[in-house]
Amino acid sequence: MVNKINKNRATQSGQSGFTLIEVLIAATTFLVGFTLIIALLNQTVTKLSVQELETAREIATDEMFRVLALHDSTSAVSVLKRDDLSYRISRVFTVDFPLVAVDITVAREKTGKELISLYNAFVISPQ
Amino acid sequence: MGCERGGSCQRGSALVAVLAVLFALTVLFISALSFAISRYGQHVKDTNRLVASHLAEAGVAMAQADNSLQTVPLVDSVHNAPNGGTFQYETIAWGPYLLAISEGSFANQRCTVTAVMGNRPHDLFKGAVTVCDERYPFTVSGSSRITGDAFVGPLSMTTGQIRGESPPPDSFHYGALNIVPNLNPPRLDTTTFQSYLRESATREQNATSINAGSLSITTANQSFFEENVTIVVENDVELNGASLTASGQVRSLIARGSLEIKGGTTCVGPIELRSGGYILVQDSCSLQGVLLYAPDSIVFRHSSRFSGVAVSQGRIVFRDRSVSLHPTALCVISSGTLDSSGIFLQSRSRLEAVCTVSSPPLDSVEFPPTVLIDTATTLTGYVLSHALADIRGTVHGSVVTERFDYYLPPTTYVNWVRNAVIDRLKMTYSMPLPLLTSTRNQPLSILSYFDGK
Repeated sequence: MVNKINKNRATQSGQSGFTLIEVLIAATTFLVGFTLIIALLNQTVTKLSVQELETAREIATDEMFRVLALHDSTSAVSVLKRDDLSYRISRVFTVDFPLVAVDITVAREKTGKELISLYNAFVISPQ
Repeated sequence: MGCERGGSCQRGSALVAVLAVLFALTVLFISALSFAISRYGQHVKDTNRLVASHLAEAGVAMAQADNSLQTVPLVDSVHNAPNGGTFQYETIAWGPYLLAISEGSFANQRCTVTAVMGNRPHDLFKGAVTVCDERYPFTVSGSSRITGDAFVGPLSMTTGQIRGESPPPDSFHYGALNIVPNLNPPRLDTTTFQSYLRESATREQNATSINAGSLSITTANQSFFEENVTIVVENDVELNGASLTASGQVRSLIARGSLEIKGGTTCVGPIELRSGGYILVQDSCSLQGVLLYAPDSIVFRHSSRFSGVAVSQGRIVFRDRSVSLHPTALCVISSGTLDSSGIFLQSRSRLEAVCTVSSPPLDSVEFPPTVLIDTATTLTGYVLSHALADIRGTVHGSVVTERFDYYLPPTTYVNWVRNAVIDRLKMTYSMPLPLLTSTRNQPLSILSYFDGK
């Protein structure tokens, strides 16, 4: 009688649940997959924003060099596409002769989020 | 019983294995996350530093445009920029060339820029601008020999080393040594220098005290200096253990002979010390914010300390652990007729300075002047030589000269710019040129290396 009961229990237990090995494999697979996805997602997001920041910095620096080199003091807004991303570049000048101050802002075109703003100035020669 | 024990043991070890795997994965995940965050943080920091450096430059431009800048040191108020940063400039030393310091600040990042300019509005010497943070690109164009260490690396790059005579270390190639023969760097404005000489001559004519013979100023009679705005001495002058100060008004001591400063003398403020021959500063003397002018030579030795502007038509020498502190401009205006003219930094001296040597074209001078940074000496700042630069010690900053001689085969100089043209407008942030060259809209031609023997 006792043996019969034990057999029934064993059968019921084997049929109704997973073995420990199965649970372990499933848990590990899930965790590995989950971790990889999270890591990949995080890396992509960070890489994107770093890349975006870096590009914005390059654009702003180039623009500033251009302004300082040419002593160009025309305010303007332009859009530049680089690496599938669009950037809005705005140049604002404040002239207080002989000083010309320039504020160059690079923003994400889609959302308008400001990425970098460089401020510099140059002196116009008296003639 | 044994089976149960065995089964129990197996289940337990599996649990431990799961926990171990989980722990390892968590550690990996956290490391990756923190690395990504720190990388992003570094980028943000670099960007903020760049913004701060531009703000500092804006301060220099404002100082250049400031009509009130004449000969009196000035501290400007803090300016708020539209991008949320601030900047403030200050003029420290004076004389034919004003020294202005500007500090830009943005999001906890600060950057200081020093500029040398003429002492009149728009009478500029705007090229001599250096960022004194020891992390600026190192540029050489000219007859320079680099046999010591030159630390390189622009704002975002790792600092490396350049060595002339020994095999380069792994970090050697960081930065770029740009050979820029057509740099057309700014020249010392001799008009400014001439106008200074005229002004000084006027002060000399209106002297409040003219002394025949020689004069010795010590602690006992130093009030004599304070009572007179301009003192002219027909012969030699000696400052021995005196403590001279000036504030607000420029005070001049003009010696038609030589001028010797010794015995721990201290001079603070806008004091013009001018000699008709040489100036010798020794015995741990300290000169702060002082203008020195000597047509012959100016020599600092025995641990003397100096900040201000020193101008000579012959040579300026720092030796025996003498120190120049920021801000300092050393200007040699050479005619190329004197032997051994230039700026010489020797025997464990240390300079924070803008060193400029002006000379007629090299092919027309008999003795080209030199900027010598000797072994075991350090210069933090900027070297602009229209003739030679001989760098055996350490330079933190930019060096601009006419030609460059190297000691190893050209292929050894990894990543150095060769046979190239740099168009500044197309340059990326990864290789910015010094401020000196960053505002000129012309491609910089890079000549080939030649065999330096």
